[in-house]
Amino acid sequence: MRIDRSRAPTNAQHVHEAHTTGATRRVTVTRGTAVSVEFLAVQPSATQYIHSAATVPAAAVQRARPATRAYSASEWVQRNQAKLRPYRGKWVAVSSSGLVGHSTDFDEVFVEARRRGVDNPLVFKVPTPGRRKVVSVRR
Amino acid sequence: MHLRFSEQYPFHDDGTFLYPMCPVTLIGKGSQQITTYALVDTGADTTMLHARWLDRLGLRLKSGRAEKRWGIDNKAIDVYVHRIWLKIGNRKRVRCEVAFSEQIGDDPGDQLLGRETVFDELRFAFRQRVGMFYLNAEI
Repeated sequence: MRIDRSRAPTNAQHVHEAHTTGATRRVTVTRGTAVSVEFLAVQPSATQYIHSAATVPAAAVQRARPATRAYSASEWVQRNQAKLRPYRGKWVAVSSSGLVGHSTDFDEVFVEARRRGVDNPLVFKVPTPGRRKVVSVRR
Repeated sequence: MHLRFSEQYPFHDDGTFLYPMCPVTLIGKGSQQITTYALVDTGADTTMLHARWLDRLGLRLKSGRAEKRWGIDNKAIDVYVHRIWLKIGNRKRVRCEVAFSEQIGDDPGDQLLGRETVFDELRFAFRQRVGMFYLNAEI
């Protein structure tokens, strides 16, 4: 993979560096949402492609992602995964402003979120690490 | 060949493995809805979620169509299929059949966003090396 730097990242908000498999990859991220992935010069193995995050005009970005509570809550989770570690195995309720409930009881997190004025939080059980999953289902 | 994507999400890192988790809003009777995470599972024929979500949508599990699903271990799972609206990611709403079951786990990694309807209506791209995946509502 190589990153296309020839296009000016006019709507880019930050540059994200991912450190995986011992390598550093720099990816331009646009407001955490809009991105253009160009599959250019695709090899027979389909493993090589060029990523460009700067091909979507800023106006199109705004059209593409109207702010919603659910999405904002998801953004909070994206940025604060470390803060959820103490709650592994528990249910959590998250709003755009952060954690609004946690419990071992599924229904209790909704009660707690509502107590804090959040009617439709993002609710999920924080995964416990080390459980290698092989999932798939057929009809 | 150019492919564009309107939303991007990081893989969830549970400290051991990376999972492509997408925020999904389940929409039930009236305005009842609930937002959680589901694993984007290209190996799953259909979408499958834990039965506990149905209670909060005002739907009864056994009012759905009784069917079986099979996992990779070839064991049959009893499911009840409901046709509901899902909002996948930030904005794309799809009406699709969802199999609910009490016989699966309730971790986010057990909630499966399968191919039927979902993959007809959205386009996905995965880049695990940089820990991101992308979706677009227009195929």
